[in-house]
Amino acid sequence: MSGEARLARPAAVLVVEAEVLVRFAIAQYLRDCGFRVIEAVSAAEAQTVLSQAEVAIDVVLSAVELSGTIDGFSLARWVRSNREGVAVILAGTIERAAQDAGELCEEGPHLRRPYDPQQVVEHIKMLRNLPR
Amino acid sequence: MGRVLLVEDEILARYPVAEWLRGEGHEIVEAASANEALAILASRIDINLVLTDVRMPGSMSGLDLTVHIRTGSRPVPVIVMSGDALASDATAAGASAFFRKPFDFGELAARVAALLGDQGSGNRSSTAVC
Repeated sequence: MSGEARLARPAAVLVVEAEVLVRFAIAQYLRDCGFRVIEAVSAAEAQTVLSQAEVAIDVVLSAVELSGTIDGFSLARWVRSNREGVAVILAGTIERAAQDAGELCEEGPHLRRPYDPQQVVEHIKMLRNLPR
Repeated sequence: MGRVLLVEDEILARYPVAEWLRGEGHEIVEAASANEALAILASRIDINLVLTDVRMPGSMSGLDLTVHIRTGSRPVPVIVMSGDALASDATAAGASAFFRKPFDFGELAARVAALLGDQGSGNRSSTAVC
């Protein structure tokens, strides 16, 4: 894809996270910031998406701990070998994932504004912990 | 427009449907199994409609999930999609509609809109500060 074509489309983030409520919160946050987001629950799902050459992915935001036999570090190595040009961000904690998502938004397609990643963290915790 | 829970274990089937429905203006929450769907339904996320596959990993099928939702305290419409289940099984489980795979995304979107329209639109405020 040409550089001009790449800039013309929304930046695409592949979020890889086994915990559904964390994945939803991070993905929705990034969508609200204007990113195209594809969600994967495991490294295997991520590899399935990344193996589709026609699917444009700019960044992989992945938890280190994933379900299945492939962890985030192995996924990162696989991405470097198979999808050159795709950036990989590994997050070892929910707080780190929220911070990384916030930083992506800070650098993303919208005008830069102050963000509060702690709000994202609190939102994730609320979704996970509070009963209906 | 409302918030739809999409339950599908095959990612190459899940994300295109999710993106199509987002393009129609719906908010889509994605789950890769019935267990993930139950976690969503037990959370503070309000779901207006469930769209579920039938055959998924784990002990609960999409039809079991449909029965669970339709007989629960907060029943919402359920659309069942499958390549090999019977429409009659979906109806017996309480589904509002059945789509045999492969299906037309436009027709699915129209049915989703019709079922959500019966409930009224959902509202969501974004917490993102971008």
